[in-house]
Amino acid sequence: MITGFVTFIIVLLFVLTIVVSGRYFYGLELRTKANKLTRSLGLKIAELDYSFEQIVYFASLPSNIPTIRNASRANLVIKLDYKSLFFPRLSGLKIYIKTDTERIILAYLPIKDFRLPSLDPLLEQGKIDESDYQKISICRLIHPATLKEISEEVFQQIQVGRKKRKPADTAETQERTVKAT
Amino acid sequence: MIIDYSLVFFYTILLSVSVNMFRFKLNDSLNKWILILAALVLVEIEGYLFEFQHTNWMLLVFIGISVLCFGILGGLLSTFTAWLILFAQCSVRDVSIWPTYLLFTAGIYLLIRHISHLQKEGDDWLGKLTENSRQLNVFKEVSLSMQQTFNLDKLLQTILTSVTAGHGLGFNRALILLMNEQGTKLHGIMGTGPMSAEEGYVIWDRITKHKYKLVELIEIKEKEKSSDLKLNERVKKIEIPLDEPNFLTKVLEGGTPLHIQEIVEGEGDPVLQMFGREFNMSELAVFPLMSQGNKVGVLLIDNPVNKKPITAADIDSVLPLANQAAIAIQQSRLYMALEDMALKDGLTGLHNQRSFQSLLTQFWPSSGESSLALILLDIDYFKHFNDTNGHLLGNEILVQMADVIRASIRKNDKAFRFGGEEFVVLLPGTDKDEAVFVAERIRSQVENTTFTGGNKQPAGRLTVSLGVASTGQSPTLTPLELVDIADQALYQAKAAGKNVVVS
Repeated sequence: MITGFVTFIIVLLFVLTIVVSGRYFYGLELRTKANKLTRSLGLKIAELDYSFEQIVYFASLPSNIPTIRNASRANLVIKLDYKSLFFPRLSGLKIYIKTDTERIILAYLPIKDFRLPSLDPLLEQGKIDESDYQKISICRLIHPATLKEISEEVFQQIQVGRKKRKPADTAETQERTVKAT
Repeated sequence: MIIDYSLVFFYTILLSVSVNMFRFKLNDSLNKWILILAALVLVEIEGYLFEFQHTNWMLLVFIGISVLCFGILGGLLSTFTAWLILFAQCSVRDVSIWPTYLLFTAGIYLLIRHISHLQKEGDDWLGKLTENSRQLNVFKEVSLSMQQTFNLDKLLQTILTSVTAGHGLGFNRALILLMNEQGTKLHGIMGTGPMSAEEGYVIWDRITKHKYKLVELIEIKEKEKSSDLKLNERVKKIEIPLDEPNFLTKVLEGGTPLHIQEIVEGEGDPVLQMFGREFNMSELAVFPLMSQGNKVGVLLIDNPVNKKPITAADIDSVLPLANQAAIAIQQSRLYMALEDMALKDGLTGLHNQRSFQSLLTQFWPSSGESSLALILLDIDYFKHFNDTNGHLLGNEILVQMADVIRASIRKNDKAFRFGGEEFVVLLPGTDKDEAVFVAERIRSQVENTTFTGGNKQPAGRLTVSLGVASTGQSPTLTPLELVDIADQALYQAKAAGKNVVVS
């Protein structure tokens, strides 16, 4: 009887560990491969330029919806959007506004649209393939500096809309909270 | 006993972590095999520690993971393998376990299929939502930019940037051809995008480096007259008569977009061949620009940089923008026609007196700026000309005179019909001596031009008298005083026997 229960726990433990640690090791492996690739190409992941404009906003900004209008930096949550539990693949970034009472999805950045101009000529020349491209672009996307900048950009959009942009260096960086899960 | 349990838990975690650490280094197929193998190892560990008491149940994990990895086929093979394991290690010869395993396989398969279906549906919704939101954002920004101008060039630049910017509709290149007033020809007006992939990468790199937004890009394109020079040089040379059928007439007549998947060199439509040759086009889409049934022009898009195939969804995404653009272009043209009517003389096509008053103030130099000069000219004995040749010929002479003045002045000078047979020329950044030189050129050109009926004039030909004034003559001059000085000079020219320049 006891061994039957233990068997059940073993199965549960096996599945849970596979699922929970899968994303971590997937990310780790991705970073290792991307770093190796960029090194061989003479590039640095942290220095690859990208555009914010592939972020798709689901609300017209600046918005009159109180939760969005009054959102602070601390209310912004960036969530990595994975597909499949056992074979994780990052498909994009979901950006939420999370308050004590509400959680509103504000924007989405599909990984397929997150293109890096430094890689396009290399792809064209056949020095990398689409899979290499995606590894590097995912790695750039989940880089802490990128997540920080995206969070700041979304906050600026909430504040001033898409017409004007406040220079990033004027932002109050001390208050910024980015939660990437 | 507790040690055994702790040990088996430890082995389980160690196995799972090791498997995950290793399997992502491999390709998808090997990744799946490793996971299945791990499930089998788990079955064995549990078997050795608990004397194969629950192996029949543990094998369900192996079967489940096999179904997850390789679908129903994986399930069937793993069911057979599970029975072999039971047979070999637990001496189970009873095949009644088969239906249980097969039922489990079917159940897991249906569950995974259902979850995949739900996931796919969720992805589809997210894709649609993302795509529609993106289009809506583009239209919002484009509408805003369009509302802010009636200037046709700015409007066309807005449309083209919206179609080509990565954060707009994302095509690599776009060209606009507009119909002439008679509806007989399409003229290349403007294009945006690179002539080659290399040029495209440079532009794309610059946009991302500065993290430009769509509105910022539109503003930059308006200011930077030098952008897409090579492309625009070629676009502006395009002139396509619509009297013979070609792919553009087909689009305009049908009123629907046309997707050309491949331009085969040397075959078919010569106009299409020309586009392929001049712009290195291989695949393109053409959109009619129609406003209230009126054919305005066409919009051409292609992807010479990333060579991305144009899809039906891409075409659908451009259509609303093309329709909106056609209305805006038509409105801009009507506005410009109205503006022309308000600011230009209907007979000669020169700017009128209202326009003169406005431009005189606009060009008036502030302190420290170079001077503004003005030439006032009047046709000599024009009343005599009308009395002798009739007013209809008099009007023709005024039109011809306007042409002579246009041809005699410099690029930045502005000519106006001041009223009756009087004309005025504004010369920004010009001192009196330079203005006299221009005035003398006008006088001489008029004198040497043959005007119908001119031989009946008292001097045997049509002539003009000209008065010149410049702000350099006095620093305290007002615009009215400048006109008055030129008028006085003109009177002196008349008094001095006409056909002269007086300053």
